[in-house]
Parts: sequence; structure tokens; C-alpha cells
Amino acid sequence: MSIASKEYRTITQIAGPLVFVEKTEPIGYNELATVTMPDGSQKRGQVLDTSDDVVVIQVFEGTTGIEKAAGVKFLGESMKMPVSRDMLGRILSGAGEPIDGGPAITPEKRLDINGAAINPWARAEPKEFIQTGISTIDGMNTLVRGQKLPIFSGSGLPHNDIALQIARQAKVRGSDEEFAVVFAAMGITAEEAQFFMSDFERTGALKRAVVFMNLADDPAIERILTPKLALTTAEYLAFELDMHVLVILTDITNYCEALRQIGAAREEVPGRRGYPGYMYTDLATMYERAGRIKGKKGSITQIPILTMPGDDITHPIPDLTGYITEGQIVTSKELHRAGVYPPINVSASLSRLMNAGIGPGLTREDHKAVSDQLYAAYAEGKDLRGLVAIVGKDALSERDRHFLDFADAFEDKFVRQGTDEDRDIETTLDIAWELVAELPINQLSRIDRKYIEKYHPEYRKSE
Amino acid sequence: MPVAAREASVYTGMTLAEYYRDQGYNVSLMADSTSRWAEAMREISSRLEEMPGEEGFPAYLSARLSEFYERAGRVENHNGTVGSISVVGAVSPPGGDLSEPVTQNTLRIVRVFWALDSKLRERRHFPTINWLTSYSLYTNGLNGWYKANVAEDFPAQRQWAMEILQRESELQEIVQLVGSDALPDEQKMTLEVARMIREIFLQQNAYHKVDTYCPMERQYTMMKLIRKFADLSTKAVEGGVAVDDIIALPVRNRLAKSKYEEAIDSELAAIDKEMADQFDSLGDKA
Repeated sequence: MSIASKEYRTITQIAGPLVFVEKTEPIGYNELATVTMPDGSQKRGQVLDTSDDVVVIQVFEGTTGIEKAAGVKFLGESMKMPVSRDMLGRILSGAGEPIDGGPAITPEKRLDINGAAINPWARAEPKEFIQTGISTIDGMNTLVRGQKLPIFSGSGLPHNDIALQIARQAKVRGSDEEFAVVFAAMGITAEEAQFFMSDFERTGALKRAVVFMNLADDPAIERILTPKLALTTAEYLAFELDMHVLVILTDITNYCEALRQIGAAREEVPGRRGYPGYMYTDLATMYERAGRIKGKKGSITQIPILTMPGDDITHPIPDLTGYITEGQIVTSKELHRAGVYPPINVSASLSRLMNAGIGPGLTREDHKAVSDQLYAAYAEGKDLRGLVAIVGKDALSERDRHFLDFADAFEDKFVRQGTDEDRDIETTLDIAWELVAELPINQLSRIDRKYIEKYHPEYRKSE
Repeated sequence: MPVAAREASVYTGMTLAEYYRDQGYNVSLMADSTSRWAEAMREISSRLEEMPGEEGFPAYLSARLSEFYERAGRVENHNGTVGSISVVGAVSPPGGDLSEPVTQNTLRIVRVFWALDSKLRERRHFPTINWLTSYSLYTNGLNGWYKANVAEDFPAQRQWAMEILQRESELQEIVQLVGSDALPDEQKMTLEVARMIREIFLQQNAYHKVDTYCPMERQYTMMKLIRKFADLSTKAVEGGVAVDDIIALPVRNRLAKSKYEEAIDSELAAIDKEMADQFDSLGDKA
């Protein structure tokens, strides 16, 4: 630890959040450093780049006020954070400091915030159904424990309400195992932060939550740290305290902006739209911290939220995210304008793990068939809307009219629900059957006859 | 996983495949996805500060893709056995844009293209292989095999189905303008037959124990029945029977549901017998 005690006064350049130090002993990548100002105050930083003659440090609190006379110490270890069961119910800053007026976190353990990659072989297959109480998710894009399912949204859409509703209502049925929510906000406005905190307190959800808040005017560097801290906390709760943890990360777009800002400050060769070429790897190391591990009771389920710039799903951020995650929930401006909450566009949404989490013993035997039928009929109905705009409703055949009405009823009864309405999966499927029953029975090509005979309202009536 | 491991993984996989091929095995190699591989190449290239090519990919992207795919093929080994490697590479173009460099460079090398279509996914048509944009340049070469191993008229039947599907997509454009009610009966029937091909033949449920796997003989039988239905209904329409009456025939529904039946082959044989009778009864009405 002799290196740790040395203080360098060889700062040659300060650029944005970065400090360049020369002529150091060998320094490790990702090592922590402290910068001591001439007045004695300290800032913390992390090594971003290291070579023979220059070491680049990113300073968490921003570089304002640092001058060349400042001293730099390297601590010889990568960044660790204190973790504890008592973090539940606390609100912390994006750098992990309490901001709720409570006492400092008394560590039960100190963990490396970069985590350790899960050995693919040690991963257990995600298959337990999480009931969110939202029909469009439970019924058609089912979330399972250990999954990472992002919400692709746009500015002006109520994705925050959806996230909060999921955080409040999510549960695994028939299980009283401990459930925790880790909520990491990156670059959100003070007003949004206020909204989140008051909602968490209003509904009592804070009791089982750890909240990290990095605000829009906090340094960009801290924004890169926030999800790492949140996931480290989640890993501790899940894999050491056996809890089932739901991690909500919002907003990934702000996180990527911060990555780009730092990449530019380091004068890296920019990739697509100026984002760094390693953004895919960076996002993957974050998303891949979700999952279940064989032999461990707990699990980490991730719901990252991102706003697509210009509603463009081909933008690098949603594009790279979609590569890594197991599906996506897409929100729609059209539905939102039509006053439908939650405005989830099921056609564009997908949960790749849905089939593992539904069926007999998990939800209900008819789940998959009914869901497929809803998708098919809704897609057909939406196509017909375009047609009606041109030729009018009268030119449609009897069959087509059924499908057109179905699409409207689907949005009104199945998609639409209240922010506090917690529908269990049976209710969701029953609503689905009511809608499907409006179509002629011989048009239900996706549903096996035995399910029709068992669940179709027509047959139930006659019983 | 580190980015360099991702870049190397396709080569590790291929080398392993070649090892088995040399022992006389027929190996199939799935690379999922070559876009992520290319993404890794791009990432490393930018770290090395190389001059970027199209969309930031390195200029040698096309060369690397060809070098990879060209390692597939059928070879005669030194010990006289024959081994082969078949490569199925998944490409995931951002936003489904097929004009991007990885897709385009891949299409220049490969001879079969299965285009997965997000429009089909939205309506839960699985597998989401688009029947019109996908192609195989091996079809003609395989016709002899089909004739010898499946049925003499298998290639002709395939051609017939493709024609119906192609006609459907043309008719759909007209339907978009005038509505399906404005079409003459014969064209309405074409749309119905195309719907049958899509829903009965092309669509499969991978989670259903019968429907998940369809042997060649059954594929042939199913298509033959659809074609028989099409031929009989064309005659019926000419004889003045309404399209709706034809669609409402119980045999049509039975054919549609047959793919879920445990004893599917006997079910198909029963449908075959029943079909002509039901059409005859229509003739009486008309």
C-alpha cells in the first residue's frame, strides 16, 4: 500500500470531468483516487485510462475548483460501496449518500460496484410468473423473475406512472418470499424526483425499496455510477439476503448521454451518432446483472426505462438495448392521445421469456392461445382501420366489421385500466375471453377446441 | 463478457465445427447473431483508431464475413468419409433496416435467405418467415430430390402455392383501396385460399407437440388438400355458389384445426374423403 500513501502534484490538464496526471507509479484501471484541493477539501474520482506517462481520472463531483496545484492520491482499490439490509426504506443520492436526512449507512459488507459477471452455466432459467396487475403486460407480454424487460417510451408519455404501478403491484403469486424494489433514477428533474418520492411514501412502497436519485443537474460522472450502485445493492439483497429484487432504471437515455459526454471529453473516436463504440458492451455489463443463479433463492429482475429520442426505435440506445434485453414494452403516443392509460402498444411489444412463465401451474392453460388470438385479431382490426379511412365502413364485409369492432373494444376494455387498478391474471384472461367472444367462433383459429369448450363465455353460459 | 471474446467466438465455434466435420460428421453451426459480432468488430476497430468505413464498421467487414461463411461446405475427408458444415447465421439489423452493411454484405455471400418479418410477429404469425422476400437458390437443385423422396408433383405444388401467395399480395393492394367486398368472387376465393395456406400450412406453433414438427410427407399432404379445396371451390364459384357458403363448409374448419390433432395423419385422410362430398352438397343448393 505504499502507492496509496503517495500524493502526486503533477496535474497537467483538466478537461470537463477529467483530470490528467503525469509521471505516476503503475496505476490500475478503475482504481479510486482522491483529489485534495489546496484548501484541504476533497473530491473522489476513478481511473479511466492508464498508460506509461499519463493517468486520466474522472472526478465524480465535477472538476469545478480543481487547480493544477491540487494533490492526487490513488487508493489502490476499485470503488466499493457499503451495503446493508437497513438500506431498505432509504433514499440515497446518485453517489450513494443518504439524502433523506437519515443516518449514514452502517455497512454489513463493502462490495465492488462493478459486480462480478455471472457464469452463464450457473444461471438458472427464469420461469416464475410475476404478476404486475397490468393486463397488457401480464396477459400479452408476461414478465418473469430474472428477466430484463425494458420500457421503450417517448418524451411526454406516462412511463413513470407505469414504472411506479409495477413497483407497487408486482408480486409472485402464492409466495410470501421477500420482495424488494431498487429504484435508480438517472438525470431526472427535481420535479420528477419529487413525484417519485412522494408516490413511494404515499403508497407505503418505500418500506421495501431502496431509491437512488441522480438529478438532471448532478454531474454526468455520477450518472454513470448510479446504476452500478443500484445493481450492487440489488445483488446484495438478492444473492446474499435471498430477496426477490425488482430493479427499475430510469432513464437509460440520460445514462447514455453521460457516456457520450465522457467519451467526447476523452477524445475517443465516436461511433454511431457520437455515442462511444463500446456502448453496447457498457450496456450489456449493466443489463446482464439481472438473472437468477442456481442454488440461490433470490433473483434480480430489471425494468430499464428509456425515452427514444424522436420516437425513433432505430436510434442506437433502443437498438443496442433491444439486442441485450429479453424483449421490450413499447408505449404509444396515439393511445396516449386517445386517453388510454397505460398506453402500451402491444403489437410492437414482446416478452421473449413469456412462454417460460405461463401455462398450467404458472398462470392458466389457455393463456398462450388466448394471447395469440388477441394479437392476431388486434393486428387485423388495426389494418382495417386504415381501410375504413379510405372506403368507409359500409364497404367492409361482415367478418371485417367484427374485427374492426374488436380492435376498439380491445383498447377500451383490455388495455385501459386505472393507475391503481391491480388486475389478477384470471381477471385479465376473463376480459380477454369476453372480447374474443365477440368474434365468430370459427374465426378463432389460434385457440384449441378444448379451451374454447372450457372457457368461451358461450359454452360457460350453457353449463 | 469482454468484447474481444465476442469477436473471437464465431471463430472458436467454426474451428470446433471443422474438427467434427473432419471426422465425417454433418455439422450445423448457428451464429446468433453476426450483427453483434460485427458490432464487436466495430468496437475493437474504433479502439484501435482505425479509419471507419460504412456506418462506422471497419473497411474489412465484408472480407471477414466472406471468410467466415466460406468455411461452410461439404468436403471429402482424407479417410474417405464425407463431412459437412451448414451455417445458419442470424443477422439482426437495427430497426429491421435491411440496407445496413452487415445484412447487405451477408446477402452477397449466402444462397438462402429467411427474412423474419416484424409485421408477422405483431400478428403472432410464427415462424415469422416472410414467404415473399425469403428465397433459396437451391430450390431447383433440390427438385430432383423432392421428386424421388416426397412426391413427383411436390415442386409443382410448391410453385402453385407461391403463385397464390404472390397473387394475394397484389390483390391486397387493391383491397386496401376499394375494400374486399368490391372484388369479384373468383378473386375473393384466391384471398381465402391464400389465407388457408398462411394459417394452415405456413403457421406453426413451436410449443404444440404435434404442430411443432411437420415431416415432408405431411407437408405434401396438407398442401395437396388445400389445393384440392382450392380446385373444388373454383369449380363451385363458377357454378354460382357464394364464397361465404364455401368458407362455411365444416371441412374447411376441420382442415384448419387438424394440425392440433394427435392422430393428424388419419384426420387428414378423413378430410380428404369428406371434402368432395361436402362440395357436392353445395352444388345441390346452387
